[in-house]
Amino acid sequence: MIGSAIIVFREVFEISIILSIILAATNNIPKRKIFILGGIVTGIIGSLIIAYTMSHFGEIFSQIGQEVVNIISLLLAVLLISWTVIWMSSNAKLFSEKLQKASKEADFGLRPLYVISIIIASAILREGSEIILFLMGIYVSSGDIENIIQGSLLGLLLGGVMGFLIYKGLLKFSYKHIFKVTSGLLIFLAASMASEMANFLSAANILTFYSKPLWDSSHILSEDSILGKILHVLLGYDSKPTGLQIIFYSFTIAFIYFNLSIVKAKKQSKV
Amino acid sequence: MLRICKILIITLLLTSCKKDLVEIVDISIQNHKFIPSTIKAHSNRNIKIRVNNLDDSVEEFESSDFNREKIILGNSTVTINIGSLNTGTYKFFGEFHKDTATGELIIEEEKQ
Repeated sequence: MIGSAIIVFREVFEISIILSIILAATNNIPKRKIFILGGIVTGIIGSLIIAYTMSHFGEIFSQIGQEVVNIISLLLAVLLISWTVIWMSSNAKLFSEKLQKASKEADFGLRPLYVISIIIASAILREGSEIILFLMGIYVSSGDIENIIQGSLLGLLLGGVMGFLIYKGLLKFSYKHIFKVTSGLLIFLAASMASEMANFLSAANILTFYSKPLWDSSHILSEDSILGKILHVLLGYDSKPTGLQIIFYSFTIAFIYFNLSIVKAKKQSKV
Repeated sequence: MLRICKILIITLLLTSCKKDLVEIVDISIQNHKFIPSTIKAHSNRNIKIRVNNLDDSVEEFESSDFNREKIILGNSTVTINIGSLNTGTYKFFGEFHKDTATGELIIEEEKQ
């Protein structure tokens, strides 16, 4: 039971970190609940479909199918998170001012909220399909369904509680600067996913250069430690990054920063 | 900005044209253990690890030393592209059975 609880916790924890930042960033948006819920449900259904396809048509995924699924899902998330940060900045007024609910909805439109659903769904898709395949594997080898359910519920609960704490913590300790803090976190989250995508591109033989690790800082902070794991998801910390990862990571930050400064310049020229 | 991007892309493409010889290393998973637990390959080769999972359960082959992760279903074989690595010892493990499924990839100097 403990074994499956730990695995489920590890995967759910990754989803939790992403979800808590998105939730904190969209805290002021009305009617967001349905879109967040929609993202979660879509993600779970998607994970089931991927897990089913993998276990029945495994040969498709034995080559580079897995990598391609990850690349598409990460690319989508990187683009949409970047878009969200830029969009948040150009609509900063909506976040900072306590407008009346009605006028806020009118100004907002629903488009950005679909984006949030997709970001959430893609995060759940990546980790969720792994959880399902893992649990199916234990079921096949042990057959102990009761243990599996208890273990995964425990893992899910612990992962969920951690996410809730991060969410509450973000709101509590950075309420005045919530906009700046969550924008910053989203930028690093996008860069972190881009760096992960770089590894899948090498693994799929799509980009074959700069694939050697450039340095090793695992003696200072290992990704297997809890802190290392959090920093890995949040900031993209990697103790042995490849050149390609560093290119993808810095390019994403530069790209978002460049667009943010355009938004800023536009705003200033209006004033 | 555009010109810098162009130069960057061309340099990247040029450096990527250099093709290394392919080296395939075989390894199995049995009772949630890697057999053999130590595998060897050479530097300046395009390394691929072919993992044959003999167990009924799923495993995820993972290494933070050479940054790869891939799901291997029960009773199936998966090939993982590693690319070329510098000489040294690289650890890998089975994410779903971390306590037993551990192994090392040793990269030796390329023979002339």
